[in-house]
Amino acid sequence: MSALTFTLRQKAVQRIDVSCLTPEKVAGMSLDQIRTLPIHQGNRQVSVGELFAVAGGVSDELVFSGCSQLDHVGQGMSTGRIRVEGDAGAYVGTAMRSGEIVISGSVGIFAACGMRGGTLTVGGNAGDFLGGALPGEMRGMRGGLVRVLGNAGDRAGDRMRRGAILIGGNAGECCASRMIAGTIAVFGTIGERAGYGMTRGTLLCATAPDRILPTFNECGTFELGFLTLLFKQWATLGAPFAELSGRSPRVQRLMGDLGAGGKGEILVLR
Amino acid sequence: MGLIKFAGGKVFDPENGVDGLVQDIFVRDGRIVPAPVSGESISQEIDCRGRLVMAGAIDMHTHIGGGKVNIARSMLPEDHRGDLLARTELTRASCGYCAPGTLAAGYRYAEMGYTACFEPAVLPINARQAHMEMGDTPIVDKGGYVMLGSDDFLLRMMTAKQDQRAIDDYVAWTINAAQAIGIKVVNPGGISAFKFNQRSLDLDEQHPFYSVTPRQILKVLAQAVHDLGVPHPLHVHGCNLGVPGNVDTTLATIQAVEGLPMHLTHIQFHSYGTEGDRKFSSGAAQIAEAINANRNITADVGQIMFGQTVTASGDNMSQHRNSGLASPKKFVVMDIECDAGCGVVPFKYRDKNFVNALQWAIGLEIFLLVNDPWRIFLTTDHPNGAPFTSYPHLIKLLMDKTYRNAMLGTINADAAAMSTLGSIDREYTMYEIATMTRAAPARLLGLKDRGHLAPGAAADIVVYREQEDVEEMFARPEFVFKDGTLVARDGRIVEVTWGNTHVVRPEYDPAIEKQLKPYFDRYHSIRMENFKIHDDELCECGHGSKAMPHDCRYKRVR
Repeated sequence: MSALTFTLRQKAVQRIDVSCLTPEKVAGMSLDQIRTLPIHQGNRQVSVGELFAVAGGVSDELVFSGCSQLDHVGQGMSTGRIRVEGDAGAYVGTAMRSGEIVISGSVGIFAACGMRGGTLTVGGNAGDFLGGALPGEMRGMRGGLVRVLGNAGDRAGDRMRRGAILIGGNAGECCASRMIAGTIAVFGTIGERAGYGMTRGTLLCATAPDRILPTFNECGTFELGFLTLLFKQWATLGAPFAELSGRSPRVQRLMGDLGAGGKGEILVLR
Repeated sequence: MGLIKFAGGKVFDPENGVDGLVQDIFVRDGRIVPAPVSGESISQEIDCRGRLVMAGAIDMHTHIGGGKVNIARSMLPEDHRGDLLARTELTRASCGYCAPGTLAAGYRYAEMGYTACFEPAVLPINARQAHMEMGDTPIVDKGGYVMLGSDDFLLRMMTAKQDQRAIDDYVAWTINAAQAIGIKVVNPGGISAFKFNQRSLDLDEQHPFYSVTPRQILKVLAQAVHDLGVPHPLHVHGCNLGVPGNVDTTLATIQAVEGLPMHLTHIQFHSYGTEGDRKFSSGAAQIAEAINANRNITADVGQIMFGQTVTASGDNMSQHRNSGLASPKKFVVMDIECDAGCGVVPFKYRDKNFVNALQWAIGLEIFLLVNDPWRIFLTTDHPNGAPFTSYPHLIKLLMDKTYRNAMLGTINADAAAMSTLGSIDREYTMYEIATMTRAAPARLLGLKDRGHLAPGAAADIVVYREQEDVEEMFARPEFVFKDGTLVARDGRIVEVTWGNTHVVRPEYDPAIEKQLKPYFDRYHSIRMENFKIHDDELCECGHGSKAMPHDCRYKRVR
């Protein structure tokens, strides 16, 4: 069974909202029906067929030719798989419930916002507010797994409630800001003010940060048994995430943000 | 403009005692006119055969403008993201379900056959903002009740024992300055007491700073409104909103005005007893009995409907009390200069929750137990009980006992068992619905030319296709005319017009400004002269809206 492919007919000049194209929304439709679906480009409504060449068979796998103007990829999806060959735009996997999204390139802002389940893999970099909360919302990502092989922008995991975000490269400023619960692991460096307003949750740093907010308290060095289990779980996730498997769970533990209850933790691998 | 004939419709016009008679109605230049003498040509005929014809509906208590609505809008971007209204050739884009933008509010009201809406909580200091927002609400006519009763100036006057004449002047000055059509009081004195760390203020409890009680405040304001001849009685949101046992407060409030006209708003929230295991019960029967017995009292219900909404109120005390129940978890309670305060708490009413389910039943009990449809009004206190878009559903609950009892069977079983709703047989008639949504509000507000269909009235006319399902019928009227222009057809906007602002202009002794000017200079953030809203400011939105003054001391004889 071949995948259902959407190839942009020409370079997009306006942003395209592809939230109408998820495996469950196109399930049971013929190619012609899919081509006539309404889709928003900029402030205009057009049909899918005008923007994309649609090919392939009926499938629960959708493949898009990548473009940084492609917004809302897999928004709210609850089944199947979406692949993007290249970059995607903003709001990738927002409020996703289940299934899998794989982006070979980079994604824009607000990826995996309010995500509830499933997995999102980004081959390149992610923009600001990865796994965060949409403006006005009280909770960010609340389930699922996000893997970013490159760098993440500012405010990764803002107001995050549950689930895991793994960042292979560096994280920008205010990583884990206002975090409520969940796990963020950063394999590169973290920017300034990590854990700002963090109430609970775990930020794991594979590389020792240069500076930590003064509202985080040094609590000493520990060998935490749960990390052994966590690393083992990540063993199937490929480099660099799998490389921790078998490593000593010895970490420096810092508790904070004391300005927000101080039950969050930054763990720095030793 | 030529002569339009609405031919052969069943007319419901309670103001003129017309109950479903087949009549023709004629309209010229936006007004209803007598039947033309023979030979006069009719330029347009609307076929109303098999249709119901009523005046445009009037919502006399709906929060559509002013500071707190804007706070609700900005606080709930998820409400706006989740309910988008796309632009069409005619209408502009808007959004929002429980706190809709001004455009969505105007369009949706007109699509449902509403042609006038009244914002009940215009703080004097926010009146300019409220009028700007109302001015940007398309199609419907607007008006506002200006809020007094917790303002520092009045409480100072009362503490200094100034005489009623001086207070009358201040009240009249405020109505004129704020371009309002009535006076509202919210938790009399309580909003101010909150600022002095008081968390409740009962009817006869002394304010912690000024030597006044809520009862005295109600009395002087009701007296002032009466003295000035303002048609709309004092619009009262009483003490202890939402507190179990507040039925006693409400009954005492009814007695407090000593026979003066008074309108009790969203009375459902003020009709709670303390019986039963959970110390929360319905006080609807007592309230309805009191309304039936006291002809000076009118009330609107403030029915709740299940689902997500947002509560926006000037009552910072009760909103602060409810803030822990916010869903989603965020709220605003704020101070508004010398005038008052406000609180915005998003809320989700759940049908399986005992309290919410009983609130739903209490509202319906009040509707059905108050005998006189001229004195009970159909509101959900939009958006506090539910968005106004739920009105057709509410009408169906009132008109259809079988449907109502079926709904009663789906709510929290303990609440259903506590309620007498199931034993009430009353079903509202079409005539009674027309009364409570058209004729009665127009009369209560002193709008001579609205809410009825006699010659001379404005041609705000709604034509409904007669249907088995009244919810469907009231949700999508076949034709809606606003001032003689067809604005909506089959629940879709077909022309966008801009309504006017209804006001009253009670007279006062300008000497009151000798007291007010130094007060403004000393305490307020703006000068007295800038505080007053001029007529031309009402049309600043550029839609050609204007002030429509109504007579004071006008009493329509029933």
